[in-house]
Amino acid sequence: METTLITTETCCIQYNIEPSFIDALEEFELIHITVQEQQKYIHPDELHDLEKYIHLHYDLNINMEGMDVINHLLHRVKEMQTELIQLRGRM
Amino acid sequence: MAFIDYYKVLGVDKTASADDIKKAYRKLARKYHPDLNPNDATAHKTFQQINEANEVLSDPDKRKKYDQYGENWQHAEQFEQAKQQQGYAGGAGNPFREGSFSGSYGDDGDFSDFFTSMFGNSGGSSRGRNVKFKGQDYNAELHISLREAATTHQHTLTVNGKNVRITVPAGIANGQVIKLKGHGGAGVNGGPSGDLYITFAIADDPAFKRNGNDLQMNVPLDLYTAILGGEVMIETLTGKVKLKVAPETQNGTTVKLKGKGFPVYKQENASGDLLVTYTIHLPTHLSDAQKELFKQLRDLKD
Repeated sequence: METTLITTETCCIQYNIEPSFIDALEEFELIHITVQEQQKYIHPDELHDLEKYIHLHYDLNINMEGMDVINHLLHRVKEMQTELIQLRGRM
Repeated sequence: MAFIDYYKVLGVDKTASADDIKKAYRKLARKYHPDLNPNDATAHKTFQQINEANEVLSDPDKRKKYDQYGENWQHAEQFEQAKQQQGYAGGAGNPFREGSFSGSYGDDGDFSDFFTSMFGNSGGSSRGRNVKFKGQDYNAELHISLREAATTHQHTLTVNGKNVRITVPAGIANGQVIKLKGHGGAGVNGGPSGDLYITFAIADDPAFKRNGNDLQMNVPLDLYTAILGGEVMIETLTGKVKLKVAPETQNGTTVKLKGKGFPVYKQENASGDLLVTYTIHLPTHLSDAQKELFKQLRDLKD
């Protein structure tokens, strides 16, 4: 099944966000943007993360640097949770 | 159905200004937001309570109604009817640009019975930001036994009234999450459907402990086999195996059976090892003759 990419404009309209917000997310490597014929697209799989960053930025007033830090910490939390489950299983 | 003190939930005074409420809400939201507390059901529940409190207290109309009726909320319906008769329009928007959160938390829209009885199903009416494009992601937990997890098998889940048939590959780990693309809620305004995330909870097995792809089991051994050597029959995941026990095997000795452990996830014909630990059982209720022989053994030792 072919995946339909979503234009960044569509995301800006649907989520009521500024294009510069998406550009900044890409700059911080928080989401990945695909460019085809000068048009920017977001893969549907990235929408989950995009929505997360919209909540963090617009609802919680967290800036890009803060979201980058949160992203790293959440990865660590996830790794530690996985390790905890494994360790519990061994006990 | 109990009365909920929304002021207490947000930790503000009844005289708190709209700004105080916004500040208190944001502070708590930063702490309990589901995106910042993955897999934490308690935080998620607390966040819903905070959200609900904010939904009421940040909306002047709702707050007024709540303040007016408070603990006598049962009369709220009569209040509504009376207002409607007076041509009350109701449902003014949230004065804040940032409404409550919405979107991808699955049960995010769950308001308490108290809220519903007082305000109807109007939760979210005041949400400022449109985060409805991609459909809602659903989360489900699937409980399976360790033995089920060792074989590729099929499962049928019922998610929101729909049956979803999935194939669970052998070797799935406890806590592992499988994403089923597009099996969540429908998208809005042409947005893609949400996804279904299935978390596997694998129950402990009485015989085996799993450590990655390796399995560990304890096997009892009688004293005589341990000392003189012999054979012992064990039940592995894939069937019975006869093990040779070396003479003078010590208690706690572990032997490794290569490839008799847990199947490796998505790698055909690959399995971890089975670690067999011997637990030596000492004889009890000895007869006089046996005791005599043990005494002879002790004397020989000296």
